Amino acid sequence: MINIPELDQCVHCGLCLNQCPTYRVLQLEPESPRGRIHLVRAVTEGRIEANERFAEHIHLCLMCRACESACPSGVRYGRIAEAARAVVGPPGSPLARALEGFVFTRLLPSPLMLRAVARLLRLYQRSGLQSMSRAFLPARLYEMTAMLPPLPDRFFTPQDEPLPARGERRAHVAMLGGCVMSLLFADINEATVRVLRRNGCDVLIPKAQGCCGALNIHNGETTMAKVMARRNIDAFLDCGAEAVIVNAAGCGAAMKEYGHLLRDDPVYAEKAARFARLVKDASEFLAALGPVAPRGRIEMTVTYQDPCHLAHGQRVRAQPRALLTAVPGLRLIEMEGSDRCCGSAGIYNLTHPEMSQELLREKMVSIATTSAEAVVAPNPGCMLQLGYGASRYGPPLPVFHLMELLDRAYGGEAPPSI
Amino acid sequence: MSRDVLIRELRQIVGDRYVLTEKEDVIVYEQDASILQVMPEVVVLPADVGQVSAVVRAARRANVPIVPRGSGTGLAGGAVPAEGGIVLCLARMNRILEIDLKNRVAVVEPGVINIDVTKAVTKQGFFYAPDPSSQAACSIGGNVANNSGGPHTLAYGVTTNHVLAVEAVLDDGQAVWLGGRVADSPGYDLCGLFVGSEGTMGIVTKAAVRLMRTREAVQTLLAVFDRMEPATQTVVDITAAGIIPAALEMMDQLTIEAVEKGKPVGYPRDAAAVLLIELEGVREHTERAARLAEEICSRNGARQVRRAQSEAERQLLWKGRKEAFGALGALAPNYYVQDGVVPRSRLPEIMREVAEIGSRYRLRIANVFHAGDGNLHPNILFDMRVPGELDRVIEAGAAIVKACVAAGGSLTGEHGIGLEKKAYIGLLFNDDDLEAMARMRRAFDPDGRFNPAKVFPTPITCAEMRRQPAKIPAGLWI
Amino acid sequence: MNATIEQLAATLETALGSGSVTADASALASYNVDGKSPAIFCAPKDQDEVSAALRLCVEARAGVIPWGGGTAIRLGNIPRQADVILELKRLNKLIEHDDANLTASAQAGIKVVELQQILGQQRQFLPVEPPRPDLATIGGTAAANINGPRRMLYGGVRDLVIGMKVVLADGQQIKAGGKVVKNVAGYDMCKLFVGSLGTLGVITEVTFKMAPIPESAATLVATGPLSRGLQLVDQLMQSTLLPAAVAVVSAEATGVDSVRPAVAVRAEGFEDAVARHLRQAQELAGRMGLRAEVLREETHRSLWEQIRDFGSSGEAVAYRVTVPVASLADVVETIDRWSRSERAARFVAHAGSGTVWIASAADPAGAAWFPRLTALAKEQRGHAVMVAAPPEFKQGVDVWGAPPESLSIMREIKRQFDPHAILNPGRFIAGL
Repeated sequence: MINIPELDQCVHCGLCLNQCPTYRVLQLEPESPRGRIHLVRAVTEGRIEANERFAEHIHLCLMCRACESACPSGVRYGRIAEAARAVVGPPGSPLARALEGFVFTRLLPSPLMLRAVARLLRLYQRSGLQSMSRAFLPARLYEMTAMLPPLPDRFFTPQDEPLPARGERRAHVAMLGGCVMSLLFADINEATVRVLRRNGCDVLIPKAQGCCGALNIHNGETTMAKVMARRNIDAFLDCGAEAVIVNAAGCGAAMKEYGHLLRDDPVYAEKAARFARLVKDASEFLAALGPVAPRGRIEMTVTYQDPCHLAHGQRVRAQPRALLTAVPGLRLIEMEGSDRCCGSAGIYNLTHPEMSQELLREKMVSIATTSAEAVVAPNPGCMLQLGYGASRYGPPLPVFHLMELLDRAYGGEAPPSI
Repeated sequence: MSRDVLIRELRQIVGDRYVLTEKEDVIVYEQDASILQVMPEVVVLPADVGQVSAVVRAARRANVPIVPRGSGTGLAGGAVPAEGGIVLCLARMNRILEIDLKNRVAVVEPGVINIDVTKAVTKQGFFYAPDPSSQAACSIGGNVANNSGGPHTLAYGVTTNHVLAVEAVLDDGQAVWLGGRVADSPGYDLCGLFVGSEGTMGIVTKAAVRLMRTREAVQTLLAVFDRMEPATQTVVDITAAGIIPAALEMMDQLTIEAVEKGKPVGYPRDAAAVLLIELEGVREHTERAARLAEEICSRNGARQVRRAQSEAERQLLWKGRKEAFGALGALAPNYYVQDGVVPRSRLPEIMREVAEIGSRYRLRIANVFHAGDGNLHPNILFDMRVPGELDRVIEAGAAIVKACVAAGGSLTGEHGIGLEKKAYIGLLFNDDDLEAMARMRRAFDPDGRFNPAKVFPTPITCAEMRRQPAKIPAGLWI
Repeated sequence: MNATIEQLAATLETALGSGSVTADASALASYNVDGKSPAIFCAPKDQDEVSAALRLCVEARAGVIPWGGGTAIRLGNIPRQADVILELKRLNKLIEHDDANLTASAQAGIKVVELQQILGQQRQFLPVEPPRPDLATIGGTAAANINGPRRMLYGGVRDLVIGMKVVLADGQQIKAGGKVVKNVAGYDMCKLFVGSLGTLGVITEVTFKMAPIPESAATLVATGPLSRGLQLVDQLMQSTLLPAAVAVVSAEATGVDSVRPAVAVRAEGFEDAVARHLRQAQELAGRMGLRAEVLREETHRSLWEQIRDFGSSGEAVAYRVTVPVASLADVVETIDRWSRSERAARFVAHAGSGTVWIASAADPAGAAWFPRLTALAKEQRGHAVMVAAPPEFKQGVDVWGAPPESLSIMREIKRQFDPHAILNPGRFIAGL
């Protein structure tokens, strides 16, 4: 099957150019969405080879999909780029590719193995090995480990018993734990659960779930990605939930695309489409439900970073802002280019550190100009990247997930009884 | 000079990174927003005027043509390197050099994006008036080359009315200011000549543009019509009534469908046409003008006249208009946009004629255009892969152009002649007229080095440069 | 010239008919150009005859002075050669007035006042106001780029001319632009001829954008100390008001006030909008301590006619200084100071375009204005032009000031269009 209908929708108007982070930095057409689409088209037409140079252009893309927000023809650029990546394979040196291959096909699909690696990492952080490692680890590798926050004492574990709503029951939802969220940000997952419960939701976190496969898909690895998608569909589809809540923008965007991923699967195509419709970002869901007004004050000025896969991937922009500004005392100041990628982009900050850091530096300048006291970014990749940016380039401000702040405004772990 | 020597020189001038020669790099510069393609030999992206001068001198020594390019949003193939050579892309020269609000002037580099000029002065209460639909992407340099228009040129004029002076690198590599920052500079109006010369006289390296004071009040109306005829008559009547709106735009049913299919903004899908009428000025003026316009719309049988009640609503009404071209991609894989102009008084009959041409050639035509200026944009929808369809499209396009000229109009109101329409320029100008233009060309560029094979009719036809139907090798894509 | 006057007159007569050509010195007495008296007068009746005449003149290498109403004939350097007056008065027809399109085309020799009368019947007008419209022609106004006070609202000649017919020096007849308000087909050749002072071709037809005659128009005049008047101008420019014209006039420049300078603010449009302009301008004037008065109808019209005609009728010497709009106040104050302390002059300044017109007597002291104005303009990154002066003032100076850095291109254009330099030879900048 050779069919990228999206290719034909591009009329070469160029409205995407200045929304593209890599084009903004380099001003080179081959590093723009229109340029990359032109290249893919040229490959399909047999006018150029899908060679190394082509692959470089395809891989320099952050997959932030800002171009999709800008595109008046509704070209699904992400799908074109994913198809192209499936042809050229993952980026980097042979060693890096081998490592990525291992991560995509062995590590991410296995919650147990992920957990084991996380424990090792936690040991590395706590044993003092990390501080010593500066001496012997190559600088890049050290920087990579330094980007990680301290791993929490306990990880977030799915459980088949639903957690009951507090107060009047308004909905029955299931939640994705997520691989990174469960391991690095277990407390945010817990906060999300509390916020949902406080808004009258029974929350189920099915045990059979696993990683969503977003990283695989973005890097053109679709075989294992489909396996992971099918597993999640099985875990969630028939659990009786009205919605599948996701608090990581990248995961949510990928899961909303399961229908597309499995469109040719005779057994799962229909289920996948049905599943995709259930997926909701936590903010999207709460805003639609009508959130219970938080009563706790948070005297703080924050700025909001739109995660690419929330703003561009899921078109969710207004809801997180509405939830934030509903918190008494909290002031939101918009930064210039809040929906421009921070350079995290999955594993992009590892594969393309130079471009990633350039974007991060610019982002930190935008943040600094607002003189906000904290940044809110409801996605783990962005939080890690911005946290690193705050320590490396300043301003040294904390990075919060939207659900953390909401949870605090609702009274946190020990809320006053309703 | 050999190609290798030239490329080495170019690399020394702008640095390796900004000289592109690999096929997987230069191929993306073979096309602008038109459907014409010719592969450049080399693409160079200079960082400043000194580098532009050096590139021009190197090209002169190597006897190679230079084709300037901004953001590549032109619709007439102006940035397509018809005779190969160097594509000189000015995207990196994108600094706003000076903003002088007291004198209402901004000095910008050619790669500055149109909308960024306005953004830089919005807070202080100013704007840059020419606003092509591509304003979020197109560059000031490209606007200068094409004398670009936009919806608001009805009241404010096109690019040439807002460019006070340009610094241009001429054929000898010298950078020279043309025009002056004050009115009536003595001498010939070289700036006025240069604006709209489609890159055939030199390379713009700076432009001094006029900033205007943001109007105190704005009223935006959306008038909905069940038939096309009364909508066009409304345009004629509004002008005749002595109201000069800031903008007076029309979209037909097919365009509305495309917009609502892509990113809906709430245009009624069953309407035959909508008019977007914008009135600007002091409050007392816009209020009265809006009432008059509403009366005229109603008198012509508008089904509904809606006035934007908030800035957000106004932006939404405009969003559909601004993105209409791109949205057409949702209706058909390809479109071919015409840019003919007719005297406003002839609008009703020309719209009938366009519709008739559509049915004669069995093609769908979506109209979204600057009705107040009489500047049509019939978009002929088609699929390049359907054998023979493109030929019919080209014929229908020619028929529309001819109809516009026959009605006392012009081939192009704002997109330019470029490669696309040069075969038709003879409809408007005879050999003597064109020879006079050629004298101008010779005065600036005696060797014809800048953007050759554009504007003037030459035996080469566009058919050779049109994009070929997609050939997709089996089994490549999953 | 490579033919005698008699030979050229004879060939012209053959081509144009005997009634259209004369070499009679007494008939030519009133066609003096900076002290030079051309020997032949011809008045072609249409474009073909203009073309025929120019072909003969280029063959004879005769210097040709195109002549409309003669109101701007004093503009320019002393001609190197002035053999033939080519008068365009017979090309005086309105070609088309497309009122629904707000455009009109007229032959070059039509008088502005006549054209305005015709357009006025459809409640439209040409928003270009040359001095002495009873004499000035459309073609001359375009060739000399004569702009009126209302330019800040309606645009200048270069903005309003959308099409032209022109006969080039070798007789080639060309068309530029068209009859539509938006047109980018080919080069914008109209720009070449507007303001080129007939040195590249003879304009035979012009197509203009029209404007609707406003429902209402009135003027606020504020009199008082100059510095406060200039502050009022500054405030007006910073406001969101859109006056049709703002002029600063010195004492005696108009009939407004023979003692004090004044600021005239013209508003036009819908009645409510005009009232608003007057109200706000009056309020600002009051705050500045200026005495304000509203003029309507006849007094309003008469004031703007005086402003329009300033420096054109009977004035011995007139200069024009153009500077960035923000520098206008400085320039006006300097001129006013000089005028009071050293050499008397009157002035009218147009705030919208940064233009100051200065008129002084034709005595030797008057000549000293030019170098000083030139230096003043240069300081402010503008320019000064000696618009009208007796020939002895023009000796040894370029009335257009120092040439721009693009002069070589201008020379090349002149060479391309008029290789034998027969059209207004030497009158334009740097002797082009």
